[in-house]
Amino acid sequence: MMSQSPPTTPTFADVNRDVLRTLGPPGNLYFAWMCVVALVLAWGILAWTGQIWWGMGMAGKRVPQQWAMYITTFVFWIGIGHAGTLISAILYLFRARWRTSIYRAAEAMTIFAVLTAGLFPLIHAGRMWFAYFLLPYPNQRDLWPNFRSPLVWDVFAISTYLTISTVFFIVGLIPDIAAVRDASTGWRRRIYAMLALGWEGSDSQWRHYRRAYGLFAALATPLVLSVHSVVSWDFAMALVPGWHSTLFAPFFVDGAIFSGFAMVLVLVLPMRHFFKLHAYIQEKHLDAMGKLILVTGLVLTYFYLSEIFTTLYSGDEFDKASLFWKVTKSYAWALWLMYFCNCISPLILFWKKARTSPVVLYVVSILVLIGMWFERFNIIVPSLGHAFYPWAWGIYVPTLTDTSIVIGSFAWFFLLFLGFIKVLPSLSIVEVKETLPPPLKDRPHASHH
Amino acid sequence: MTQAVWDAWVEIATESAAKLGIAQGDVVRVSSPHGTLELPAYVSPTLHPQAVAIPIGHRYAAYHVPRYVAVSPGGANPMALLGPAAEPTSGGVAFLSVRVTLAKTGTRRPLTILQATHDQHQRELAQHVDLRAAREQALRGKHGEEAHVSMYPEKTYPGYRWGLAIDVDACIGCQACAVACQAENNVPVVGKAQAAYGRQLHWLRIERWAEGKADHPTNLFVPMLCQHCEIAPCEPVCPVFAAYRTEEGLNAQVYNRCVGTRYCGNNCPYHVRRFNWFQHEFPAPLEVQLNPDVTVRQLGVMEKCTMCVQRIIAGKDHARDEKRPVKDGDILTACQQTCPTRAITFGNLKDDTSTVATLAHSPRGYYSLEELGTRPSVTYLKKVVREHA
Repeated sequence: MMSQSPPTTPTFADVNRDVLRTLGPPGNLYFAWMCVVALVLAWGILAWTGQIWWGMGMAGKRVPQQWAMYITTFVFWIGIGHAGTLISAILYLFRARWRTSIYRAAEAMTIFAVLTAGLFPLIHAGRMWFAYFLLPYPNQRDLWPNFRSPLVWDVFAISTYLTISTVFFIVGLIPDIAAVRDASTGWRRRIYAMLALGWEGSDSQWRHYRRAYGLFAALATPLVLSVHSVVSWDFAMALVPGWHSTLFAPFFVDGAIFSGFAMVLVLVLPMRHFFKLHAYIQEKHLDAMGKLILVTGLVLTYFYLSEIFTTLYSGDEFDKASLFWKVTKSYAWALWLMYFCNCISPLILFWKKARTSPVVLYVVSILVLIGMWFERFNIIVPSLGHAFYPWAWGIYVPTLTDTSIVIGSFAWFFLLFLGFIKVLPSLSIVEVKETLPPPLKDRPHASHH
Repeated sequence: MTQAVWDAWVEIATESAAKLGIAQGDVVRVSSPHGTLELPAYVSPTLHPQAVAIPIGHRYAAYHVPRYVAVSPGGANPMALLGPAAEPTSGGVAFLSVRVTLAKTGTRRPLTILQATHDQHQRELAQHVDLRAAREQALRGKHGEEAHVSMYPEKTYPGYRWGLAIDVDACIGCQACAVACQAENNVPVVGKAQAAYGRQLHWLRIERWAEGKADHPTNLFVPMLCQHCEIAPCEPVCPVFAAYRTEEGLNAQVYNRCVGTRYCGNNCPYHVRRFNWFQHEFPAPLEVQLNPDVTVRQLGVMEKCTMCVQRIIAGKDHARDEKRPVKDGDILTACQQTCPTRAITFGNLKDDTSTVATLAHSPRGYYSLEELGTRPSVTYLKKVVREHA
């Protein structure tokens, strides 16, 4: 995938030029991808319309699997949304330098993933036109939502997360947008000027900017842990064997980071290739992300083992029956696929060669994403299919509607991301420059004015 | 009781089916001297090996319901197998027995069976007690009830606390209660395909559980309906208070409030909450039989047994008019009213003299999945069986 040997150290001028180049007029390949994504999205919207019109029965849900692919995909996208904030907030606070070249893309990914995930509670509700009942709005019936319900916690957790990560994203963008503004002309310049909020790069502005950025990083940090913990309680608070577990919060958070990093790689590696950003997204960055995937993957394996151990050790017959059914019966293929993707495939990243090879990283990331989707599937569908009451045991079969909507959600996400990379700098000009040696007096001052 | 719906079937004993190489759902040609019939096989462990059985009253060729299910090839009227001659002793139609032969046709027509398995997997959903033990218990009474340990205060009921007692010993599995419930509560019919996929809307179902030896088990019938749990798993998970507990111990469902997250349905260990996957119509003339006291439900909402709350309200109104509290027998639920063996008793659990309270404290009493701590308002009474030698 290497196209040219990277320059040893880019200058500030190189950074501006290289990043702004990514916003140039897109080629045919870009439009081809946009068309594919838009068509798939349109198909998904059609499927959803049909489901609203004819009823939830259009999807393959049944008793007892009254939750299935929609909640699976919801949790999947929430998980994806975790890496962005982890990279931008926690790694920022820990001053991990390698985050600079990927954090912008990761933050955008976070917001788009949360926007995608946020659709699923609506898609999933039997009467989505009344979904606003979950919001605590003033009404003449004096009715609150039920604050004991984990679904209401979800509403708060996810809306908070979306708000904070969006604000964080926008604040971080201000100096970069100013750079884009200075390089553009016409109506584009006017729009960027508005978005840059009058940024001039003065000392006091930088001081405020740094302070605000640090504060938002501190605000966002607990959210990395809290949001997916809350999502995990959707399951942990329920009685269903296979759900009712105190393990779930850390288990879900780790899985979220694991899948989130895989998605970052899935997005960043093609960006690096097509925009020729090898000078900025270097092998050491890939190496660091490979290490993170490896570590979170190993932790996840530990959680899988603990889950099995606690089930066997507890002596709970319902739990044991559920586990045995998952491992050996109708959905066993999904479980073993998950174990392979999440536990075995990241092990290759023990080798440095694999961690620095874009091809290997890409393949592992795709496998991890598949594995993490199936992890949520395995928690939801087989557990519900083999719960307390044998009268209802059985399997769920997805329909065209379920499948189209789930695939459509991927199209929606990629549509947003493809739009983003052509509208906003997908590499942080500011932070990349911070890692470079400052320009010397005898060299031309290339920083923005 | 087979739990097969929509199609007729021919019930064949496990031994005979194994001998003839017939699996469940294989279409079998049943021939008598008077006619033939092709029906899917239902393999039964309890039938006598030399007998086959065909239900009467299932989807006659000329009287099918095309709205819900396509007409089955050949029809299924077992009268076609029977001769016109009268039975000599009684003079009635000889419709109970005729000698038939079976032949496999090679085609399959899978039956729609609502119950996934008849094996309880030691979960004690249907319980029984030996006759001797039952006698002893009846003399000595049950062991003292275990105290319920909780950090929370006990639930209190200012007025009544409604409950049911269901005698598994009396239940014969006729399913009249299920039909009565369907009629009383405007429960729609969903059709064969939806029923096969676990989307039927019955608020009350009869389960058959096999107990004992695998080849000729004892069958236990359990009417299963909303248990109106005191600590109901469905209530705290509902984000909008559509599922909530009334002051009279009912687990109520507010259809207008329901958003359809189906969390309650997932969390109900008994699977008695039923969801409207589609908008179900009551096409003419069915709308005439709708009960005006009960609302019909929209697509996307959860519904379930209300203990016939409309009858409870009517009963309370009646008692108030007579300026007295509700007494035993004032209120009958539809299932109770219809049960031919009086297996179902409704009443006020707070009143120790009421029949339901007496039964709820019976030594034979048990709760379904008691170990989950849901504390149901429905008490089951164990079936009394002969001692196994």
